[in-house]
Amino acid sequence: MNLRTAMSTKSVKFIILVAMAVLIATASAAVYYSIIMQPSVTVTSATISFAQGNDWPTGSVLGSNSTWVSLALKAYPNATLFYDQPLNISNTDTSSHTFRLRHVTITPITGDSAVGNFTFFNFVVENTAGVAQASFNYTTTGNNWNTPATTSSITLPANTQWIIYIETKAAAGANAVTANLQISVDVTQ
Amino acid sequence: MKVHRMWEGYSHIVCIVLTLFLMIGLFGSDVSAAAHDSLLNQPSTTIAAPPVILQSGSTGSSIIYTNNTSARTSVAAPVSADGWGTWSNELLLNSGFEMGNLSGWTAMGPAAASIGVFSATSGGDSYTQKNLRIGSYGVCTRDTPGTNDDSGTWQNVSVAAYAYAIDRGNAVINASGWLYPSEWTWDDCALIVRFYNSTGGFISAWNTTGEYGSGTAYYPKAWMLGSGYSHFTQGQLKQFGCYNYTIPVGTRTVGIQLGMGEHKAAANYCGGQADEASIKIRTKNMPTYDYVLRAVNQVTSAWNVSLQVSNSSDIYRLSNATISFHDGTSSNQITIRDGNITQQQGSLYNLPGGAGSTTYISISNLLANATGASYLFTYLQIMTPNTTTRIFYTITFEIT
Repeated sequence: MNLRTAMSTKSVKFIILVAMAVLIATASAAVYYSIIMQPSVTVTSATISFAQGNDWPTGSVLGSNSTWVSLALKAYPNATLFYDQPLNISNTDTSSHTFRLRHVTITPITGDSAVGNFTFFNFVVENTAGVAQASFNYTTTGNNWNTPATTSSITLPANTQWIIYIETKAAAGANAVTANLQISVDVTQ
Repeated sequence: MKVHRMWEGYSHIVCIVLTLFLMIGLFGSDVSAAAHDSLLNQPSTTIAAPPVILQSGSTGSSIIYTNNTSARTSVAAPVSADGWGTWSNELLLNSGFEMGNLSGWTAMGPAAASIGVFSATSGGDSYTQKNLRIGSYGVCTRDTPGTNDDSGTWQNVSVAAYAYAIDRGNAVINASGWLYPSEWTWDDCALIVRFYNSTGGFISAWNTTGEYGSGTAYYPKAWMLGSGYSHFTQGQLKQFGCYNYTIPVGTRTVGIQLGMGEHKAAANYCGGQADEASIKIRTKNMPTYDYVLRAVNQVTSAWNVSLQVSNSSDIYRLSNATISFHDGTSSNQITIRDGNITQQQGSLYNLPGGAGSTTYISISNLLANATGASYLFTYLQIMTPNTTTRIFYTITFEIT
């Protein structure tokens, strides 16, 4: 085995790599000492959660821990349906928290001919005085969805429950189809 | 080969170390970001058949749009300054006694037998002022010794043909007669108008002094003694009566009495005399469209419904209009008075459960003060009882 052959072996290449890593590590830090991070993770209930509204829609499901909700909504053709108090968002903490609404998915997907059966679904966050804090409105143009942009951060005061108010409308002559949405409520801890 | 194997074994450890360096670097760059968590809202929206549908009515003109969830209805309002129509023809038979007899009239009272018509050359007695008449004939009470002569003539007329307007307070009456106490000092007269319901029951009365209520028709309490009543002028017939008097709701018959009295029972004196009685009626021409649309339930659930104005145009020209629900009971939902919407939304009205249950929509007492077209854009609110969940249907009312 001559030198060239020896230098090309895998072992030697690896030695060089390690040597360079050690060189880099030692070149920028002279001395190390260790401190210990000792996290403990406790399972607690979410301080921001969903709650059933006074007019909880029939067939809806509030998941365990109230961090997931499946709402069964209706829409009527050429008529606007208002759910004034279907769902609440609740802050049980002694501090305020901010949250935002963010679109995740919707089916039928945009471009599907079924999309044109819908006119809009609008989710409106209302404070205790009934003043809208954010509107999250899905509309259609032909067979395409116009999905809403993520809302700006909304501050939910401590120990407060707000309403998420919903309006739906289907197009005149609409067929009996269903749209499934996923909306994330991102909460800052 | 040994060295090679040894380094192969250490290579895993070195990779882990390098990975840790990389992770620490990444962590270090993100150390200022806050912690987040996310809740997931997963609604599903299903398009369903409308639980209530709109259908055309039997009056006015309606268009029902796709899915029967919106509609437009058109009605016409008469144009008038005050809405009042013209006076009717004379409703009394032989109102001025010009038939030369008492046809149509009934003589009543203790001296009924002495009541009769007179002319310039016939009837009456020596005290009858035969020159005080309108036309050829008048009526009087002749003297009947030894009796109380407080008697008169009476005629009832049916006003059932005006029932619709009467029951809405939209009918007025002119009822009158010309009277004179023949022997000025001692005689007296009265004119009484009475209102009866469909079964002949007494409702109320109007009389010359406003004092008279119910009582015996031929013996009124509000007689006017000639010398004691300032409205009489000696030697002249005087017209009395009620004018533009609102006919009480429920009236189907109106009676008029011409009272001609004699208070001096012991002597041979005549009583009063009368002529040219009249009953005329007029009504407000404010049509009602009883049934322009209806809301028909399609499901077993009951609903609470109401109407509310969302927008309007050219309402200024409408003097009067009322939009109501009815189905046995009624509920005014939207009212317009003198060019203004005075009631924007009605109270909740029950649409009973069960397919086919119906609430009717009417537009009543329509009146405009100018030609044109006015529009009321409204929502029919359909609410699940005891909840705030509700559906809005659009209904447009066009009033030309």
